[in-house]
Amino acid sequence: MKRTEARMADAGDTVSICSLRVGTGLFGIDTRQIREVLGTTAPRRVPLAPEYIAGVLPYRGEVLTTVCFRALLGLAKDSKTNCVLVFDDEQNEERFGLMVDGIGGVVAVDPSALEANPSGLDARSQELFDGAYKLPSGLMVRLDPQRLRPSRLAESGLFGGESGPIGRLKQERQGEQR
Amino acid sequence: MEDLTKEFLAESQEGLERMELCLTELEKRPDDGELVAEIFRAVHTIKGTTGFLGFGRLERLAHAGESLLGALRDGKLAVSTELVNGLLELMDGLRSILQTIEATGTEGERLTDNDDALIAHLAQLRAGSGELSRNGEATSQNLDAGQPALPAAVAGVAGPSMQDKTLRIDVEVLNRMMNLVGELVLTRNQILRCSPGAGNFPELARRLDSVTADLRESVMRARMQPVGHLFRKFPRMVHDLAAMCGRQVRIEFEGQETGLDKSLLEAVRDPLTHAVRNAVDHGIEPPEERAKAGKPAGGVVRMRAYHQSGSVMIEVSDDGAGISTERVLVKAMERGLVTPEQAASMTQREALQLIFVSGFSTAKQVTSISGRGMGMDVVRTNVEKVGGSVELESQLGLGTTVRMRVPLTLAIVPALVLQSGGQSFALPQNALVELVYVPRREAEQTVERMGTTELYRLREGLLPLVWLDRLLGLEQSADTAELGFYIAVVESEGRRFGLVVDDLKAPEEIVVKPLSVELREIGVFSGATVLGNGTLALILDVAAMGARAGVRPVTEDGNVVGMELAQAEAAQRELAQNEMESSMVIYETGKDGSAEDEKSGRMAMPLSAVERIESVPFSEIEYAGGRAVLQYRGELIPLEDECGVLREMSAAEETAPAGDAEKDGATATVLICLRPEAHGMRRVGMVVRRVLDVSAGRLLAADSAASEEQLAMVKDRVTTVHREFARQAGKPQTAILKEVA
Repeated sequence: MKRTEARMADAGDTVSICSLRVGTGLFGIDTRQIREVLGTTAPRRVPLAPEYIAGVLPYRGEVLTTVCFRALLGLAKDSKTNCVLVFDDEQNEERFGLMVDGIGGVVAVDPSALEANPSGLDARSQELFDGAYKLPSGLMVRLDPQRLRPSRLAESGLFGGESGPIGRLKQERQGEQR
Repeated sequence: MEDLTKEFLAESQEGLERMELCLTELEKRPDDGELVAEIFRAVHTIKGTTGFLGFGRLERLAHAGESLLGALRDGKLAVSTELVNGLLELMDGLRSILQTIEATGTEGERLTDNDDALIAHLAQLRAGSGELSRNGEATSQNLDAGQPALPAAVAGVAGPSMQDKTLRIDVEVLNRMMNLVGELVLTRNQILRCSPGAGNFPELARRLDSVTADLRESVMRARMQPVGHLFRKFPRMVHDLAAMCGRQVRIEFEGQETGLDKSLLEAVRDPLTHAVRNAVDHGIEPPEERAKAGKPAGGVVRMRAYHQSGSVMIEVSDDGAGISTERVLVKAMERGLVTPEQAASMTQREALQLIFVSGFSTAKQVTSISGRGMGMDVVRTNVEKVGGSVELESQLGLGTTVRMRVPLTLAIVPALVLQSGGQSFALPQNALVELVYVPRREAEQTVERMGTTELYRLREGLLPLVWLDRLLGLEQSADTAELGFYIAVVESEGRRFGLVVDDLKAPEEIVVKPLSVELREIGVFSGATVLGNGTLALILDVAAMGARAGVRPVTEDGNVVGMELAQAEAAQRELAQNEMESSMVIYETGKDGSAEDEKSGRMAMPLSAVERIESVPFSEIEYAGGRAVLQYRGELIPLEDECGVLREMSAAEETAPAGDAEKDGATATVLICLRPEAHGMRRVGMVVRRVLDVSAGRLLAADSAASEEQLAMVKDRVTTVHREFARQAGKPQTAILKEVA
C-alpha cells in the first residue's frame, strides 16, 4: 500500500538513489531518507549485543546504535572499509546508523524500473530487501531504512538475538562447569 | 490546545497546590485569616479566568466555593472539620475538572460530569444554620463526593500532568545561560579561525573549558527544584490517610528549600509516598495505644531534606511504635529468607535491612493502604535505580526513620574507567567499595575455588569473583597472565562481589547517555559515555552484572559465599561487642617447634595483628646477616621462624638432588603481621607450618601466677596466643593500620 503510494508520487519523475556497496552486492536507498553519511568510523562494539549490531557511535551528543549490514546478509563481519549512514524515524524518534562497505554515487532511477521482491526469496532477504531496480549495469536492491531499524530487526527474530553471543556465552559456561 | 488555556491550567494547578497547603494548615490554625485569604484568592483567580475562557462548569463550582470562602473570610462561619473537608472536596472537584480539560480540551459533557451535589453541599455549609437539621444528609453526601477523590489522593499515582512537563525558571538564570551561550559561540568562532599551532590556542582552550563549566553549572541550577515542591502533596495525603486509619497525625517539614534535579525529584516521588504511607499506617499507633505508652495522642511524621557530601538526603521519620527486630526475624525465617543461625547472629541494623527484601511485610494484617508485602523493596529499587540508597533506622517504641540518599544530578556521575579484554568500561563510583591489585605471582594462590565459584580471600571474608571479560564474552587479553589484575570490590542491591579487570584508568566525571532499547535489553549496561579521549565507553550496571553472574544477595539463604561473609561479619561484630573477644588465626607450630606449646601443636594469633596470609615460594626467601628476609611489596621484612619450618625446608633442599623440580615448588606460609616495637609498628613475617582456621576466641584473664603466657579459649580449646602480639587482640584492624601510617 505504502509502496504503491510512493510509486504514484514518483511517477513521471526520477528518484535519486544513493548506491551502496556491501560485499559483492549493489544496494540503493532513496537519498531523501538519509539524514547524514559519516565517513570511515569504527563503532564501539557492544559485548553481548546481537550479531547484527555493529556497535555504538557518538553522534551529536547522542549514542547512535549502528546496524551492521554485512552481518544481516550473513557475511563475515570484517571489512577493510566501512561507512555509516544515519537514518531518522520521526514518529518513533528512533535514530540509528547502518554500516556498509562503501558508498557509491547517487543515481537517478526511473521508479517504473522497480520490481517487487521475487517470491522465491528466503525469509531473511524478504525481510531486508524492498524490491530491486533494473539498471542497465545489473540489479540494484532497494532498501527501506524503516525495515532496518534495530527494534524491528529484534522483533523479527530472524537475525538472532539471544542465540548470538549470549548463547555462545551460555555454552561456554556450561563447558566450564563440566 | 490554546496557549492561553495551557497557561491557565498551569496557573490553576499551582493555585490549587497552595490551597491544599493552606487547608491543611487551617486545621491547625483555624483563626489564621491570612490562610483563608490565600485560599480565597486561589479560587477567585480560577473563577475569574474561567469566565472569559468559557468554562462554565468550572466557573459554577468555583463560584460556589468562592461564596463559601467569602463567608468564612468575613467571619460569618467558623472553621470546622466538616468545613475543611468540604473545601478539600471543592479542591478535588476543581482539580478533576482541570484534568479533564487538560486531557480532552473540554470540561466533560457526560451526565456524570455534574457538580450539583457538591455545589449544594457547599451552599449548605455556607448556610451553616441548616447544618444541624440536615446533618445526616450532609455526611452521606460528604461520603459520596469524597469517595472518588480519596483513593486518588491516597494512591498518589496521578499520571504525569502538564506540570511535570513544564518548569518555571528564574529569568535571571535564563539570561545568564544565554550570555554563556553567546560566549560559547564567540569562542567557537575564534577557534575556527585559529590556524593550527597558533600561539593563543591554549588560552582559547582554557576559555572554552571555563565557559563549558559555567554553562553546565547554570543549566544544572535551572534544573534544580526545591524539594518543597515534592513535599506539597503530603499534608493532604497524611490528612486523608490518618482519617482512614483512625490516627491523629501531624506532618512537619524541614529543609524544603533544598534543591534537587527535576528528574530525580520525579524519581523519588513514589518512594517517598510509600515511606509516608508506611509511617502513618504502620508507624504511628492509634491514639489509645499512644496514650497507654505515655505519648501524646497525635503522632508526628517529619520530612526532612538536606545536603550531605554531594548527595541530597531525604528523611521520613515518625514517632510511632518502631519496628520490632524480633518480629522481622521471625517473619524472615517464616519466609525462608534467613536461617535460624543467621538470624541469631544478626545485629539489629542488619535485621532491619531485611525489610527491603522483596516479598517482606511485617504488618499484622493487610490493609488497603499498605502491608501487601511490596513496599520497602519497591522503595529501594526505585531509589537505587537513580543511583541512590536507602537506610532504615528504628527504635522500638520511639519511631522509625527512612533515609534516602539521592545524587544531586543524574546526568553527570563520577566513575572509574577500567579496561577489560582491550575495551574501556565505566564503573559508577557509588557502587565501588575498594580496589585490590593482585600481582601475577600471587594470582595462583589468592584465587580459590569452591565448586565452580572462584573466590578471593579479602581479609576475613570470601569474595565471589566475576571476570568481566568472561562475563561479557570478550577476548581475554594475553598480558593479564603476566601483569596481574585488579579486583574492583563492588556492592549494589545487597550483592557484593569482586569484578576482575585487566587495568584501571583514571577516574572521570562522565556524562551519561542513554542506550537504545535493544542494547538496554542486554541488561549489563546502564548507558554509554564519551571519554576524555573521544572514545565511547559503556557504563556497567553493577547490580545486573551480579545477577547475571549468579551472585546472590547476601541475605538470601543457600549461598555458601553469602553465609561465609555473614559469618565473618558476625565474627567482627562479636569483636566490637566484647573487647575481650576477638578473631584469632590458629596455626600449626609442629612437633619440633617451640617447646612452650609442644602438646597442642597449635597457637593463635590475633587476626587484627595479621595483615595478610601469604604463600611464599621457598626460593624467594633470602638471607641477610644470617636472618631470613622477604621482599614484600617493595619492602624488606624480617621473617621469624619460630616453628623451624625454614630450617626443615633448607635441610630438605640440601639433601635433595640439585634441580629437583618438586623442591623448587615448596612454599612457606607466612603471616604478615604488625608487631609493636619501640618506635611504633613494624611489619614482620611469621613463618608457620599451616594455617588451621580463623575463628572467634576469648582471651582468658591473665593468670600472673601461672606464667607470662596469654591464653585464649578458641573453639573450646585453650590455646596460647603469641606473646608479642597478644596485646593487639581485641583492637580493630583499622586502628593498627593507622598507627603504621
